[in-house]
Amino acid sequence: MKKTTLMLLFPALLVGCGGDDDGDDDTTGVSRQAVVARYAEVVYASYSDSLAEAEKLQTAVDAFVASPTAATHEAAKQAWLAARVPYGQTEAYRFYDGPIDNPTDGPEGQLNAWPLDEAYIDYVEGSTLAGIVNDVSIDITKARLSALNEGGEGDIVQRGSGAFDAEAAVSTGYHAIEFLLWGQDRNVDGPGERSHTDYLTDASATAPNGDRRGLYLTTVTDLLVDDLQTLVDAWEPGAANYRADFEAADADENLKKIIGAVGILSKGELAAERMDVALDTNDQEDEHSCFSDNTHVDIAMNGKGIDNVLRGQWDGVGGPSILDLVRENDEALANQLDEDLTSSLEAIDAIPAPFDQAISVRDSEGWTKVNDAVNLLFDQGDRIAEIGPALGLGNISVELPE
Amino acid sequence: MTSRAYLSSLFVLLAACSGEAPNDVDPTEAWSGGAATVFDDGPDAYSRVVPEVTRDDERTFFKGRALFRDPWVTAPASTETRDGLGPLFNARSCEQCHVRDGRGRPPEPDGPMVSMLIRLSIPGGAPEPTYGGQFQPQSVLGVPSEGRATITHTTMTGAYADGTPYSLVVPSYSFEDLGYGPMAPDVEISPRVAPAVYGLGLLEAIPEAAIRALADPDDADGDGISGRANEVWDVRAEAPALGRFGWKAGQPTVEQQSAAAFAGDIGITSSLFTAEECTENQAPCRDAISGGEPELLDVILDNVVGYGRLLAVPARRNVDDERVRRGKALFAEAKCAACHVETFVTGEVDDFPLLGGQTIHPYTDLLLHDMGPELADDRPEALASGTEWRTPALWGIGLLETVNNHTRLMHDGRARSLEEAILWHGGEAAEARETFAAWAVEDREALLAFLRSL
Repeated sequence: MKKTTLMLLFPALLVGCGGDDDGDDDTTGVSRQAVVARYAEVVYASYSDSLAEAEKLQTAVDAFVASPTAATHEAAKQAWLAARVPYGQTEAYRFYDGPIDNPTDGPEGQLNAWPLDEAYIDYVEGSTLAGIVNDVSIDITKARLSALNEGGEGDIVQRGSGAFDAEAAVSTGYHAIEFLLWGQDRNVDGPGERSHTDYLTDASATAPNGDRRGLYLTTVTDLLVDDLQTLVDAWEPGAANYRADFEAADADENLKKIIGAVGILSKGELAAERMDVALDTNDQEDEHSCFSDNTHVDIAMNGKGIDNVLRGQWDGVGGPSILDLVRENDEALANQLDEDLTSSLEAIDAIPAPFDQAISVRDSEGWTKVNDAVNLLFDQGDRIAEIGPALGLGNISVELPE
Repeated sequence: MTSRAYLSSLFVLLAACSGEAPNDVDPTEAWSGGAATVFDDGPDAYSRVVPEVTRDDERTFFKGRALFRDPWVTAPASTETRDGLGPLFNARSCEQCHVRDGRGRPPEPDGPMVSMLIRLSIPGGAPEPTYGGQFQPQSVLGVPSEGRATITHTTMTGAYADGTPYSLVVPSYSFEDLGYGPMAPDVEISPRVAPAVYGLGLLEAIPEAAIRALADPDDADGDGISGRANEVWDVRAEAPALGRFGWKAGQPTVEQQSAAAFAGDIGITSSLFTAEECTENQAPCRDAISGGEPELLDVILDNVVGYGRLLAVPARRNVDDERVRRGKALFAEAKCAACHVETFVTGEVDDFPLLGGQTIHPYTDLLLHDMGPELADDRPEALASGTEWRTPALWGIGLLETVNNHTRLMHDGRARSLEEAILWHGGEAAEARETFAAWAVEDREALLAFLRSL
């Protein structure tokens, strides 16, 4: 007991005694305020890109529903895949009750909740008339679908208030659109195989209610665009919005949020929830983009999001960064973090796509590569936690509930 | 960690270094879970992993947390390992009831009953013939809901010996919009809020002999307090076992408790509980598509169980505060501590060795006690009678409002504060309640200050 006690307490004692840096007096050019400002630029740029891709998806979906052909269908699918690239990187801005997942009106649950309740939306194997699409008593409108969706993960954490709707299921967001485009993935060799003919209304239709299915698809896509617009608005420069309050707040408090968030993403969310569970279940579809088999991209983009935040970068352009601050205070830690970021991204890249086939056999080559990446992401999360003491910010927990 | 936590850590360190405790305060008193204690007094206090875990255990914990929080979906879904919700259910995820790993509560007026449920049976212990062993207000699309449970209240008033009045709310329950016809007229109901899930691995590691040694079923020592062990069936071991978990100690292990909750609350069958909660009179429920046989992979259950077992216990605050010290002495004086037993030493734990050999302060004896007619649900469970309840652990209770934004206590959440919880104690605990009620306000406040330090 005593030995454990001492081991636990020494880090606390060192911090309690002050460390060697406890304020804004960083020795060279990089100020904490500048790092926070650069973070806000990166967030804004990445949400703007996410919105732009979602608007392209909206255009493609509208064209597909107006004229369902194999070609318009494929164009919509390609637009969805492109839209996932910037959005996946923005998940690094969750986990501190910011605009994306604040418990009051953060849209995270509506945008990206998982797993999707497929039978709540549309027909599934063995139940040809399942879901809202086939329940003609339900009006398909943005307001109605929004109300029918679950409150979201942020809400789940906060619902001590009892305010959330326990009757709701996941029925909106990227994965709802994905399901409506690809269909259920019940086969081992590839993604879902929904045909564009599901959207026809004449005798050649392959499922009833093609018009309602089209309306559902365009409606959830519109909802997606609306939600992303609120995030862009929240982070727009020069407006009276979340960003204005954020940049006016104490830089150290902001840094704690920013750093804690990427640590939580690295360990609990990306490594554990999105990769490690699948290593245990070996279930091909225990993956976030299961209908399209795009999970390897989701994982890579989450990893990239962590890299972006610590390096202050977007689209290949860097800026004053957390890594710079760490380097000024603890060069060894900075080097180690640099190496962690590089090696974890390399390990993710080494996972053979599609992810679902990589994890399906325990101890196979693909499984082992995922396992390696999980361990590196855990290491990285622990290292990110060390930034707190190194910058005199106190302890930063990276184990908090997502 | 807050600055206050730093200070207490420093204090403990200094005490440990000097080899003696100042002010007669045992420095380990704050470490409610021994080495499995965390110094966090914020909203995540119930959600922390035990310190010094191995990487493998940490991975189990985080996987378990994800599975604890992710919702289950209607079968058949592409995500085969996550489907099989319902067809009738109380919640879509563990976290929906065990909010932030803490305690559930009764619903707001007119709100849905979410972190609370109602058990059903008929005399003799069989499930209610139509609605089964538990009322489940939620259902998947295409299957009728069982209905709604509503709570109405009456007020009961009383006064402390010093004349200070108090009032308590007495709940009564009814069912509306019943989806499968009327319930049996002699139905027995037992409303229960979701209990907290931290520290479960430590409670499981208390040696059975240490619990049984406290049992005094016939009150042989004449102190007015009996304490009975519940004897239940261990499904995996296929043998009788000591009941430890649940409001009436109806489950012997964290695994069985978890699997029972998966089956009853979420509608997910497992290798331990293979049957859906659908009765003969619920054809749409029986006809609904299954998510597999069973629906829950053993490895998912293992991770969720590991999560509960590896959730640390928050440290006490203000253990050396004078009023808290006074309150602790009063807690013993009023014989609260006869059932809310302060200290155990855990036995060896093969799979999580760090939980073993710890001196812990759960403030429970894990035994059943007659709590009097006011609290009775008149619904037996294994050996537990209709008036008996298992002593709930008190560790971490002072952080309830911080974590869960409410202060509702007792099995059905009827108490609106720690003070009301004490005033609801009857039966074997009536004398303790009377002692509390007879005290001057300073002593009552001291006792409450002690409870808030837990």
